[in-house]
Amino acid sequence: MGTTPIRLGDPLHEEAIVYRAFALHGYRQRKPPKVRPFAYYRDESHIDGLSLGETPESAVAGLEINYGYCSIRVGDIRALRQGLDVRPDLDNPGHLILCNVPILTGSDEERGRAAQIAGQLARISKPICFDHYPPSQAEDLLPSIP
Amino acid sequence: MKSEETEETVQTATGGSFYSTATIEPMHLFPSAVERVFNVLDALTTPEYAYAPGEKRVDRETIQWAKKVLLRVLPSYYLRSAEIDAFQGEIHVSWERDAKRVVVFVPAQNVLKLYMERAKGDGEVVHILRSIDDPREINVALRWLFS
Repeated sequence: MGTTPIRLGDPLHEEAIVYRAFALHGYRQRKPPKVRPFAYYRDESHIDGLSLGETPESAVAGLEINYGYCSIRVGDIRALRQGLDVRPDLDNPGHLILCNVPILTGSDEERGRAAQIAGQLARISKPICFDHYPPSQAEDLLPSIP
Repeated sequence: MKSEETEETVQTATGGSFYSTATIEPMHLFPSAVERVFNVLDALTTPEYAYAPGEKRVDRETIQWAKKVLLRVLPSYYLRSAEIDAFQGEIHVSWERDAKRVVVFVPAQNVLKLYMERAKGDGEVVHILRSIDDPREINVALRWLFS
């Protein structure tokens, strides 16, 4: 998210797996485990598109708190035939942009498309982690506490 | 909503009964599904609610409007599976079942947008979105969703 346009590189390869952080609790559902369409809603402040990461670590970078992350295959995104693509942020290694996602708070036509695309993206996303990532050092130590 | 004084019959330990006038909080007059939805909506105005940094908060008028709308969603068991999200000052109430999805967008007071989608077997998804004036139209959409 930013106020100045990002310099974007070439689209990623079909087989690339990319990651979307759960920035809000409502981006995912634990039972049954799934990604919710809410995870892919875009507003005007996301001027280039939605943030993704090349790795789970880069997906959550910059978030003070997160609720885990999901993965998604670039080829599956393109297969939706909605004009979406994934491009690298040339000024921020590991940061990727999901381009051409409609703005949900736009016109009714755009809102409808945005809701539909968010639902499609949620269906092809694979939830991986439902808790803050990476686990804090304190959490790592918990099992060793008698 | 104001508390209401409700007259109720109280059974005594000896089997007799007497009339009591007790103050009952309005939440107890509603099914738990309605209570849950109201609690979630009320939580949107609290400082603890986790908005994204810089995100526009939902105002009280929009919350009151959403409550009025959802009280008209009958039967109330529809509300059990309702998911409520805040997004840039809007309230979104959504339901998903198999290949179908219904979302009620509440962007502001007295404004409602109804979204319905169905995923077809071939991966194609069809949808409609329209502004509605009568909240009872949500019931029609939910009957379709649960049919």
